[in-house]
Parts: sequence; C-alpha cells; structure tokens
Amino acid sequence: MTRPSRLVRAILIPGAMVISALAGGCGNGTHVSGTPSFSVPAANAAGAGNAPATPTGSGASASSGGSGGSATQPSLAAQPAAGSAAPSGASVAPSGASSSSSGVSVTSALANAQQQLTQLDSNLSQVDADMASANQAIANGG
Amino acid sequence: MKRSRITALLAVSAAALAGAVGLVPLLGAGTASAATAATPAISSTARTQAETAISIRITDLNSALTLVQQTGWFVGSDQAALENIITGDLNGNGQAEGLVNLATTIRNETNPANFWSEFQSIYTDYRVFALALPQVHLVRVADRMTTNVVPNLTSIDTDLSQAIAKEAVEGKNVQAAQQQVANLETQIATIGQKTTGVSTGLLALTPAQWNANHGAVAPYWGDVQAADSAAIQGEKDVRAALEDLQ
Repeated sequence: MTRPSRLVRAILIPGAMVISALAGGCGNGTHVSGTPSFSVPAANAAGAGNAPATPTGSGASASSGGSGGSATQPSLAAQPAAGSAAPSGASVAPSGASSSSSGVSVTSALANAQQQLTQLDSNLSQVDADMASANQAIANGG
Repeated sequence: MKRSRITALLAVSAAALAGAVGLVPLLGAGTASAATAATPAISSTARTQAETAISIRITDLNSALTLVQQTGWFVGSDQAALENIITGDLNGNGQAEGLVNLATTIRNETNPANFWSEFQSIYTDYRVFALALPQVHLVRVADRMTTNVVPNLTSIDTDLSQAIAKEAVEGKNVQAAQQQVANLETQIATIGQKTTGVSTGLLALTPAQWNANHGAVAPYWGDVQAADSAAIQGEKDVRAALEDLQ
C-alpha cells in the first residue's frame, strides 16, 4: 500500500526543494528522498558563499538485532496477577498497547502485527510531511 | 568629473549591497550630489521588503510554536528546547532582540546604515528558514522514530516471531518469514543508530554556527533520512512477512 503522502512528495518536493543529488542507498522506488543542497538563496544577507551540503550516505550499517521472539510460552495459568486481583472472568489477552503476550494464536499475533502496521504507516506518513516541511524551509533559505 | 565618478561608485556599491540581499532598490534613488548619495534615504520599497521578511518569519515561527506545543511524542526536554528556540527568535534570547522587536526597530529606523545592519540581522541573527524550522521538523521526525516508529516495529517483530514459532511447530516452512523478520530487526537497529544524538545535535545549533558553516544541518538531515529509509524498508519487510505467514 502506498502512503498518500509519498505521492504528494513525489509531486511537490522535487520542485520545491533544492536537491543537489539524490542520496544513494535508499533503495526505495516509491520514497522520494534527497539531500538538500543547503544553498544560500538570493535573499540571504550573509553574502558569504555557502558550503555545499555533504550528503551523508544512508548506508545502513546493520548490526544484527538478535533473534527476537520469546522462546518460552508460559501457560495462561502461570501469568501473575501483577499485584492486583484480576476481576473474575478477566481475559488474559494482551493489552492493546503492547505486543501480544505469549500464548496467543497465530491469527491473533498476525492481527496485532497488522494493527501495529497501520499505526506505523500513519507515523511514517507524518514523518514524510515533516521532512517535506524541513525541505521547504531550507529551500526558502535565510 | 571627479564628483560624478564618486557618485557613480557609490551608486554601484549601493546596488551591489542591495542585490546581495535581493533588494532592488534597497536605498533611495540616486541624487545629484555625492554628499546626498553617501547618505541616501531608506526607500519605502526597502522598508516594505524588510517588514515583509520579518512578518513571514514571525508567522512561520508562530505556526511552528503551535506545532511543537501540540506534538505529543517529543523525547525528554526536546519540546522545551524547541519552544526556547522559537520564542527566542520571536521575543529575544539575550543574543538578539527578537523579530517582533526588530520589526518595530526597522519600522522606525531613519539611519540608512543602521537600517542596513538591521535588515541583515533578519537573516544572520535568526536563520528562521535555514535553521529554526528545520530544527523543529527534523527533531519531530527523530523523536517520532524513537517514540512511535521503533516501538511499532518492535511490537510487530514480537508478533511475527511468535507467529513464526507456532507455524514452525506445526511443520510449516517459515524460512522466508524468518528472513524477513531478521531484516526487520536490522532496520530497527539502523533506526536506533541513525537517530541517536540527532535531536541533541540539532538543538545545539545556533544561527552563528550556521553562519560559519552553512552545511551544519546536513549531517543530521542525512541521519534522519537514513532512519526514514530504514523504517520504510522495515515496513516492507513486515508486509512481506505477513504475506508469507498468511
């Protein structure tokens, strides 16, 4: 699914910002990314020549994050009451904020992942908007 | 003859200065005498341009202040630091009088030399577009990565790992999904690396530092961009894993 803001960026940003070169290594065909040149606009009173932007490579030096995942899955009965008496009939399903606790079904785990993915998508769209705004400000200069 | 050369030189110098800040004309129309040319009047056009430049910046800073105050994912004292930067630019910060006061100063200025200096200071003392607004937006991005994006991806990582473990127990081939999750974890680590120190570094930058190094924001921009790219790649990894598991 393509986030709408990417389309907006694809349309607006190239014309608005001053991109000297697309940064390498992004590896994403739909994501418009670039490093602004940070050139000084005509309205800049400083008058001094600006140093060219130094694009920093985005080459993700990847350290492994480990294998993740829980190795053991305690039984539902073993879950502590966390200091307070659980109401009768209380579900032991994971709280909505965190990821699924052990013992959930594949379906439930995938549903949780899908829910987080939706939030992630929203967050990244907002990130796009902020980056576009930063670009626009830099393009305005001064 | 001699007098006209001086007049011409002064006129050229004034034009060059005006051009340097995009002001045409900054100073009033040339006059017949060198004495008058040496102390030209401040043109209404220049005054309007200065006031407009300040007004635009004040408007954008006020919008940025609202944005910062409404942002709920800042880390630590980043929100307060951004508010200090913005309100300092607006109302003064000990280094500069603030754009609100500067507008009044410029409006009442009658000395051309002072006017010129004050006009320059709209840019050199504040760097609203080159620095302050990028600080706001890039810190918002870096902190959103820390507060929202990484937890999103980490939660998904856990969910997918659990699903993979269960599918594996049932004898299903989960190699592809495992690889996607491994890739996802790499992206999570990259986001953490790239955003570490970004907000602190950005918030420490001052207009004077930007004046000395116009590329001062660029490294932080690069880091934020790399983190964003990693997040986008992580999102793709998640989608691929979900597809493998469903």
